[in-house]
Amino acid sequence: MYAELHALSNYSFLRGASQPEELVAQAKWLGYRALALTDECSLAGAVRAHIAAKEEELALIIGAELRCGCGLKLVVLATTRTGYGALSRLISRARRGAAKGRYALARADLEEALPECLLIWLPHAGGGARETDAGERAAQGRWLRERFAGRLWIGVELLTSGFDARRLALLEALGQQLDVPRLAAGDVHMHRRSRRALQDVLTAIRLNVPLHAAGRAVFANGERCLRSLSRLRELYPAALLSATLEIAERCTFQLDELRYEYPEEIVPAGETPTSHLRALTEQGCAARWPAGVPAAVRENIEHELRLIGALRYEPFFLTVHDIVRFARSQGILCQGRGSAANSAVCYCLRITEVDPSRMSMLFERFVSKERDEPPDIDVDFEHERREEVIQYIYRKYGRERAALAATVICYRPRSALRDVGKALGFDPAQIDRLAKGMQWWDGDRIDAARLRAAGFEPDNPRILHLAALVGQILGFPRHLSQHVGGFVIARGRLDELVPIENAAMPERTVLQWDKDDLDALGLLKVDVLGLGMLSAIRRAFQLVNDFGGAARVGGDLDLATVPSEDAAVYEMICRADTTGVFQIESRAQMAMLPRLRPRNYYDLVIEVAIVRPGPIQGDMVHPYLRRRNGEEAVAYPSPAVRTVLERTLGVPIFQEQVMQLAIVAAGFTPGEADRLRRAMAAWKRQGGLQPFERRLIDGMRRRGYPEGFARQIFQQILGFGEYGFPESHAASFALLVYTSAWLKRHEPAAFCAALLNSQPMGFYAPAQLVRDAREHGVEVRPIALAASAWDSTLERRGDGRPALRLGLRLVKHLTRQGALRLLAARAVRGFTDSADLAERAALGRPDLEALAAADALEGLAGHRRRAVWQVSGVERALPLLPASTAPPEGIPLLRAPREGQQIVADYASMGLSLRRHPLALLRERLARRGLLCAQALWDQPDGKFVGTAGLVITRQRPGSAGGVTFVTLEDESGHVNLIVWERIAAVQRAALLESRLLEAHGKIQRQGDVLHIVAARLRNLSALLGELVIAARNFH
Amino acid sequence: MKARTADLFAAVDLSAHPALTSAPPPHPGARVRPRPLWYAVVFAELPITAQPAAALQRLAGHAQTFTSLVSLESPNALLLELRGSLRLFGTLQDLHARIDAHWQALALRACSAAAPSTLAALWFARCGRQVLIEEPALLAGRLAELPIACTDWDADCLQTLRAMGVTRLGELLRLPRAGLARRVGQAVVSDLDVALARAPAPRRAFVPRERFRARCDFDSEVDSVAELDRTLAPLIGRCAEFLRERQAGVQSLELRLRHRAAAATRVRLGLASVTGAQRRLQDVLTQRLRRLDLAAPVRAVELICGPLCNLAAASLDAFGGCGTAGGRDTVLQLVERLRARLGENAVYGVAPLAEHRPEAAWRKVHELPPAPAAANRAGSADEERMPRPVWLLGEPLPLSAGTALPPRQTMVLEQGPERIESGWWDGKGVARDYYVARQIHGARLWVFQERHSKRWYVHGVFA
Repeated sequence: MYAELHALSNYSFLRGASQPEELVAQAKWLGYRALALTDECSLAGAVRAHIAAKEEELALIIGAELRCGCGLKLVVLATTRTGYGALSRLISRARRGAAKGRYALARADLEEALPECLLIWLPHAGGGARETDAGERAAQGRWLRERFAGRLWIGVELLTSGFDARRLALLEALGQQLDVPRLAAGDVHMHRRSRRALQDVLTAIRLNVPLHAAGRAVFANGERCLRSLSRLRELYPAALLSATLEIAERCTFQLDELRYEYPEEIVPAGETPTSHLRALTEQGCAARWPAGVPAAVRENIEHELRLIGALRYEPFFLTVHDIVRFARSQGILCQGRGSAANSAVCYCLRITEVDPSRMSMLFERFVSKERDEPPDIDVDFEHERREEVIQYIYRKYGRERAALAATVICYRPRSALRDVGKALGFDPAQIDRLAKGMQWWDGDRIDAARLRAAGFEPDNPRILHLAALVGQILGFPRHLSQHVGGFVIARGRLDELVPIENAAMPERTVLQWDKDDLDALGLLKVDVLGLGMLSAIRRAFQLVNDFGGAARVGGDLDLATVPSEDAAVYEMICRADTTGVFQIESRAQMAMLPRLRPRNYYDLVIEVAIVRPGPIQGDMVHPYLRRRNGEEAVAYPSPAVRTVLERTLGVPIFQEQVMQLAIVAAGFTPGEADRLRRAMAAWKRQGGLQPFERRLIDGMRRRGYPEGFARQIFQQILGFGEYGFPESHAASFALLVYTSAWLKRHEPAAFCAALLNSQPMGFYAPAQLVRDAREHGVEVRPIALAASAWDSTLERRGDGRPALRLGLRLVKHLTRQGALRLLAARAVRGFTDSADLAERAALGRPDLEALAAADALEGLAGHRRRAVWQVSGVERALPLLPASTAPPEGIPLLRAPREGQQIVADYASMGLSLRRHPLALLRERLARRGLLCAQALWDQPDGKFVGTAGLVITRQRPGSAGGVTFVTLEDESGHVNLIVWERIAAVQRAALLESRLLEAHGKIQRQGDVLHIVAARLRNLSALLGELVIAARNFH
Repeated sequence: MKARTADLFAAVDLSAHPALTSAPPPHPGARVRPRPLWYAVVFAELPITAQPAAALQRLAGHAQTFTSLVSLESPNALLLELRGSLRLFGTLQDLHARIDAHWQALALRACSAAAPSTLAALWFARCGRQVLIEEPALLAGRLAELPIACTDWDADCLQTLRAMGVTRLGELLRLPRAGLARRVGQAVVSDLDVALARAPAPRRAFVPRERFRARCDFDSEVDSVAELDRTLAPLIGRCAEFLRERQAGVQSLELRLRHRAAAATRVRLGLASVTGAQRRLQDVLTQRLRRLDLAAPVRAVELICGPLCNLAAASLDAFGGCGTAGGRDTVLQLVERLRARLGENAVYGVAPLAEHRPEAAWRKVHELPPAPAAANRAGSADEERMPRPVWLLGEPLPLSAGTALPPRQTMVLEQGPERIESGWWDGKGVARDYYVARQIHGARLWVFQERHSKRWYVHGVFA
């Protein structure tokens, strides 16, 4: 008997106080006939509401609330696909014409713009002093009626303001005068009245005032909720309520009706997508296998093309091919990954460099006929050049047809605390202290002790408000940002599919839907991602090729020509000698390598996937290692399970295996398995795995599997959670792992230079990368004015081998422009003194001082202190005066820095030093404290209580590790890995988090080639370092 | 009332302070003036307290116990000139210890130092060096050991110095002056001169925060209010002149009547707006005195004015609003007379507040609203709001014992409901449905039903 036609969710940012799903569920529970989600000039919450409405079996109407600049306020509802497209387009237009997060709409924009839409006019909407007078109101009404007669209503919103009776009478009279029907609406901002406090807080945040000063800007009462039918009957005449049903009847459009169509122009005239894909594949075959395609591969290709044809996916492969082809034409290194990327066809199209013959993967595993899901191909590009690819896509398809998916930025504990605290009128500095003290791992609740530490009383009513409201607002969307690279490209106008709005970056546009929304509706996207390692690999290839070092591969080195399955590379990997290598350089990976001992490419695929929170929490690592070492028999409960798990010795490691298990062992349909995958990704946040649990265990029991096995599989699925890593991605990553490891093993100088030139990226700072290269016999030469380029480069040594010359880019505070001018001037002739340098390179004081501080001017001006004195006295020469007009002055006696001071200055100016390790200087003092160096720890027995100290290089707290913090310490002899249990971390938090130099005492724990110290006592020794600046990489 | 006097506290006694006039460079033969001696104290935890600036002001007030010359060194330090106080407090060591003990008693973490120059004292204190140096000649040697970070030079400057290998002031002092000035700026060189007491501290223009304070001792005791009023006139005149010279006004005055035996009677007077006019001051004082019962004969009287306010800005508003500027009986004067007669708190203004809760929708104000335009704006409520009664009860009055509304014969709900659910954030949240009700004998009441208890209350009466 009622349909709510005006409801805002929290996708009307900082207005709506309920999730779309909550609105849908509550409307259903109250017995509403239908619900219209009408967020303000936005459809961002529509897909969520749509999914919820399908589950709840509630009729959902898609619409939007719009306010024109003139004060006219409307709700627009889509009746059909055409109406929806028109609304989406109008929203796009309004959004594109304003800054990010805003929209601009003039009354004239509505003309002709809304076919097959229904309009609810909300007069009185201005309210207050901006109230339009009766005459203007009537004029507005006439304007609307002339254009939208027959699909225009007046919305009567009675919110117990005290004037309900008068308002009703006034609007009834207005409607009769204009001959426009009336209907009831609720201006809904929350699903239940209990969200009133949160709604007030959102208002205060939006207006940027504390609540006590918000005055009448907050709503007077909590009537803007979904109200019970009995209450609505008290408030409204029956006719107004039943009028809503008429509208609900007419709005038949559902989001399911959206159909995605691939772009057309990827196929040349006269070709069909099928024939064109076939032609490109054949071309690729010829290039890949000049001697003829092996029969097995040929069979694969034919099979894949048949499957692609049956699913009509040709345009998708062609679209990706086109992007990759562009990148290659620009010399941008790229590599595809994802479910469809590791196919023979993609290998032929050069979307991937993973040779299908190196792996035994079935294409069906990635693209299946039964699963009606779009194929998934992500393409990684060099991170510094991805923008070129993005601009190409915009150029080619235009902004109406290509846009990035959105990422919904939600309230996190820290931002929630800041905003709610401000709204409640807390002192910002105090809130800041509380928020800063919260490391991200503190989770979602506010600890009472932490509150006390920040000077709050946990039982104070205001604090209770704060804690409760922070809890409520967590996860609320704040604004839309751009997805890292998910492009949607359409044949027709994309803005009729989903609204497009401006992103914060100029010249960027984003869709109002995020990746999950697109997925849910089956809209296809291509992920154009940036990957630092690709930049580094391309640079390393370049350095090697320019140096003439690629002789061993007989031509230019690139992804395709790196020799495969090199035993020396695997030996290095097994030693965990992998600093700088893609993926397997992390602390956890390094600890795994000596145990897993990868021996071939597929081992790397497993290595990449196994050191992930999913397999670790699902307890798959140890069974796998035991079986691999032959300590445990491999058994399969059935031949069907064997086919799924054989390649990983009976232990599910990849996400795909879990889904396949559900299919072969529990009788899931592929569609159900896919829903399981989505549920797996979301259950930590939303729960919802229980229905699958029943279904899975029953299904497996019926097929004769023991209940224990079924439970174990389910536990593993739970453990996988959102962290399950797909084999299809691991396979592509493994190629980059191998390639970077090969470079490190055979071209260490070039590899190190390439990593330095691609910073910031990876796990280690330049200091560790350079140290590692030197340990591998690379001669590293210091930054020098006469020899360094901007990038780090290779120089030929007497013996013909390359030496690494550090580049000027490592000099902190040196501008790139300044350095380039310097290089240009140097190319003309060398510099005679610092004045000559300043003049000819037109360098300002900051650039000169940066160079002097980095000890780059030694040849010109003596030691770095003298150099700084000299260059800081240089005044920019006036253009008309000769440079040497400054009166000559004496150079004061500045003592040459001692070794320790040099090291400090090196770190401060470049972040690294080629001199001794800082700890070498402290060794004597540390030894007096009984502390051992990293190397000496290896001589100690397992279980011995020892003490050590080192520079903190990394701190990590993986979500999978049950609250353990991993710390890597570095000294002059190597690295020490610390394990800090949560209990110890809590007590010694300050020492753990604040130390640059950390002293640690604890027990040695040795397993084969892996040594840890389980910390018992920590102490901050940073004072010993003086002003030495060490950048640790924390928690990433 | 901020601005002009925030930097220093001092009594009204403006006789030249030794430290105020910068000492000329001593030359042989000249009589050497006593050199100022500075005590610096740094409160380490001050920046993390709420409102550090106000806290520092308060501490400066404390410091005035020890010297008349206190300077605020934002954000967390004070400078006290001690030379002038030595004759009162004995040796420097004694005084130093007494001041330190004062901070300790306040449970403050304070680091202090004393030296013959402002910056030297401050820098030592910032480093936590509790030194006590009286001889300027010793400064250079002692300063040499301090790290350059104790200065407040900007980060770029410190960075450059460190890159030259300079980490302590001693290394800095060895560098050639001209070259140093060229590289890190003249300010650094000047600071060094100040610290070494080679140059005065010209940038510290001390302007004491002034108050008028005057005392009049009577030859014979006064025991009538009328006589008191008469004798006060010259004092008021001097006060007005004092204010006129400074183009300032006050908003409060205090009168202290001293008796032979009893404790002094303190009479506080507030003014409705900032003024420096003799007639208004006199007027208020006269009215106030009329209400006064003299407890004992008065043998002396002291007049102390409140903090000085900038007259120019404040007075224009105040008189502009009255429309009868210059007339003898302005509204302001009326209010002041009423207050003086009825008591300070008996007369107040009402300013509307934008709030949904009726009881929070207005507030008492002591000052009169400056201009009528502003006062009316808040009242031009939108048409959509229910009427508000002129008479609002201090506390809502329960309408009947139960939750039932009185029978229709006695009361009819004319308008409403207006639902107000608001104010949860300050612990005084309400959830009520308001109605305009007409009683059978014609009175219109403003009633509400409490949403949770369902009880009825009267909250106001329409005129």
